[in-house]
Amino acid sequence: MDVVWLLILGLVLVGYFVLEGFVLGAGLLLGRYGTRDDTDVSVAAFAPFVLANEVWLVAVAGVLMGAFPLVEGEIISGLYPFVVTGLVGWVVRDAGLWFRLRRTGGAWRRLWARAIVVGSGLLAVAWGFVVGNLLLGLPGTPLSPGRLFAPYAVLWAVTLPALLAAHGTAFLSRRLPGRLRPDVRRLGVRVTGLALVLTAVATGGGLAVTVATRGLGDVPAMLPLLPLLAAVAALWWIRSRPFDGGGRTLALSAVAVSAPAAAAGLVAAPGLLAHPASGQALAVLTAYGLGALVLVVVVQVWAWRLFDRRVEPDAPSFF
Amino acid sequence: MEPLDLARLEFALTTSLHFLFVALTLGLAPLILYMQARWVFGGRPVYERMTRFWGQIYLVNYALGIVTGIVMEFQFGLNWSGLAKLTGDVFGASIALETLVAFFLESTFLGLWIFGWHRLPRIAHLGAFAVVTLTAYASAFFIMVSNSFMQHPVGYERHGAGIRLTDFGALVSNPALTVALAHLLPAALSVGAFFVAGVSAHHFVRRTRDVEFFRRSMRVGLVVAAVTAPSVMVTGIAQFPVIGGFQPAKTALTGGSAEELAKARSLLAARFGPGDLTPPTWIYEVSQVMVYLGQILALLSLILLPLMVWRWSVRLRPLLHVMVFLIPLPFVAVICGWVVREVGRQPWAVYGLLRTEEALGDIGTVAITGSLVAFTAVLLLLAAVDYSLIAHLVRRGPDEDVLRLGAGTLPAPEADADTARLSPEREETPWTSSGY
Ligand code: HDD
Ligand code: HEM
Ligand code: HEM
Repeated sequence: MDVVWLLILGLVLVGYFVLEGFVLGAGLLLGRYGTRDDTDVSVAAFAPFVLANEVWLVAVAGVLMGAFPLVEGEIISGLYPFVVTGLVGWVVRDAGLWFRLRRTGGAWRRLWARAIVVGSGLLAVAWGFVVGNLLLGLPGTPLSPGRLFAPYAVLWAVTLPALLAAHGTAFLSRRLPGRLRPDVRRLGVRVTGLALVLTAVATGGGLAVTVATRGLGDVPAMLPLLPLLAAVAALWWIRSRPFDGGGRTLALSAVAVSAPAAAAGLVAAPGLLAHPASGQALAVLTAYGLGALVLVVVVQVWAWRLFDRRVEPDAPSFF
Repeated sequence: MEPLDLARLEFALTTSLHFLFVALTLGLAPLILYMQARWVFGGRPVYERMTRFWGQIYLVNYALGIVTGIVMEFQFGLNWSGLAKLTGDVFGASIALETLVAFFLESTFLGLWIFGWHRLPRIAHLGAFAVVTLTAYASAFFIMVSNSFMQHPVGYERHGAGIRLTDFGALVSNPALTVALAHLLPAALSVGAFFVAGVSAHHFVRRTRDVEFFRRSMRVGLVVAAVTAPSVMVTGIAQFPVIGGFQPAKTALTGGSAEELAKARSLLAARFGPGDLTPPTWIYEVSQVMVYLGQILALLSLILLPLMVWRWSVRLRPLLHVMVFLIPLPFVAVICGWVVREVGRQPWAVYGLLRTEEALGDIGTVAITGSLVAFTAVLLLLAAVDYSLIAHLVRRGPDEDVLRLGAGTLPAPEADADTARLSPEREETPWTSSGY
């Protein structure tokens, strides 16, 4: 049963990065293409997905707390400064989305558009640190600043935002009106290239760290590097194809953006499995939670098909 | 201050903020569901406008519900990891169910409701809001399961250093849960009811010409208030004996009797050994505020109702002013109630099982101060902005363009969208040229 819940945790975490990843990426890049007047349509491009996507992280926290309560506290309090920063970023981003269109003044709207960018940025960088630190091993509380800001973690703090941005452009090129497409395509090619270089360096760094600490022969320790290699391959593949917003580009960038989290999950897995909740608690979770999870996935797939169209330039949008 | 005090303050401030917003969410949702159902099944246009007006307020309020809730969810891991270490097996399960069964569905369906306006068939759109309402109540239920376990732990056995879940049925039929829900649900509904009645009264004070709109809204508010406010009082009084059964010092303090307190002290000493196990005495004053407010609200709700039915209250201006004045009172009462419940649980985090200081994680003063300042500053600022937006919506009333809460329902004000894009006034056109 604990293995089932570990897999569910992995699914929810990967789901978060795939789905919320493009919202964060698009938020990061708000204002980096088109003109100032394109803000509305740029936000409208991802608006219908925000609520359904961000809640995957709430579910990650819930599953952690329910199925692996001991480790939950260790991870979250071990990475204290990044969790706080990330939450502040998330809150500011959401406030930007919800507040921006509620007033008409230009200054008001620019302020909250900036909140979207800054909030997404804070959350993206915080996630980079979290992933980098987890790749270095589960934190035993409390971590020293030297470890929290280790060079390898800092490397991820720039790599992950680049990956999110690349995923964001893959999504945007699918949704934005034709007029903005050349701009976004140019941006997408550049960002994907940057993400490719950084991910390759980070993967190489990970390999070097693993070999240095565990030696060449330790195969299980190498396992987490596999998703990272897949990410490099996916980004390479995107670069070799036309950047046209097709489903394949989006699928490849989804692989790339969720790979670091998957790798961090592989590192954390043995620690999680060592301290699962009791069988009774997991049985309760399974009895009530699993059905809800399936229902959510079904409804979200249906909602995706409802909203996955190009936005019209002046189409109404709540965000 | 010590890390313990800081972490408590942080939790108290952020949950109180969270609850101010979710109480209105819980209170408004069923009323809006009713309005939307009348619109869908009766087809009267006034109900469509009511759904949009109150729905808009609901959404702006909801923004802060989410944002504060997100911070809450992670605070257990950040500051209170001791709670998970010792009682996580029980405590975590109900929180996990809340996220999977309630939030996950709620967020998904709320997105459908907002963005599916006029894109979904009417019945499906109504169904989306029905799910939103239902899951909001489900999330209240599951979080109360966790909280009631802290008030009165049941359904567990000791296992190693911690405990583990043995009986989920006992967890969801916890007497600390049933009495609290019976009190909290009407309390949250009364928050929404007094809000709707008060806002409608405000528009009558300002001599609105939208008489039908606000008369119907006010009637919904007053009827629900007249049912819920007295229930809140009755169920509140009914809580005392039940709580006294497992937290004798709390009810002795809120009851204000010195003998009871002495008796409770000796009871606790017999159970847990010597030491001061009584919560701070000031919960007495806080509980008095709640009780007085409860009596006032129950009484006024009953006085106001018949006036509404005979349509007098619209002409009796002093009564309208009273209704406006009542809007904040239920909010004050709910926070007082929570402070009594939570502070009255001290010195334990999980009553009789886990002291509050043991629930605290191993965190330094600097880290906690940082998160306290960051969260409270950001959330208080956003809450202030949010309330100013709600006040703005309330003042503008239902005639304004702000009510276009749907996708492409009304023709855009400018015939030609492309000229609008180029015109410099575009920033000044209401957000509906691009918004709903
Ligand atoms: C509209 C809001 C409201 C009003 C008017 C009242 N209450 Fe209340 N009360 C709440 C809102 C509330 C609450 C916020 O919903 C609490 C906190 C936790 C809970 O379950 O309900 C609560 C808790 C609460 C508790 C503490 C439960 C505990 O310690 O576990 C008691 C004893 C009462 N109430 C009693 C009353 C009485 C006797 C009232 C009036 C005559 C009254 N309340 C009016
Ligand atoms: C103190 C512990 C609490 C935690 C950790 C918590 C957590 C959360 C979270 C994470 C959300 C946002 C979900 C989303 O993204 O959609 C939320 C919303 C909500 N919470 Fe809480 N909550 C707490 C207390 C309460 C209480 C006591 C109630 C009611 C009795 C409540 C009722 C709600 C409701 C109805 C919502 C959805 C509506 C809204 O967002 O405004 N919560 N909560
Ligand atoms: C939304 C309404 C709530 C409010 C306004 C509220 C208020 C408070 C207050 C004032 C404290 C500080 C008590 C003290 O230190 O003296 C506190 C502590 C705490 N509450 Fe709540 N609470 C709420 C709901 C909940 C729920 C639903 C849970 C659990 C699921 C919860 C869990 C805790 C924990 C873990 C602490 C810290 C440890 C402690 O002081 O015992 N609270 N809360």
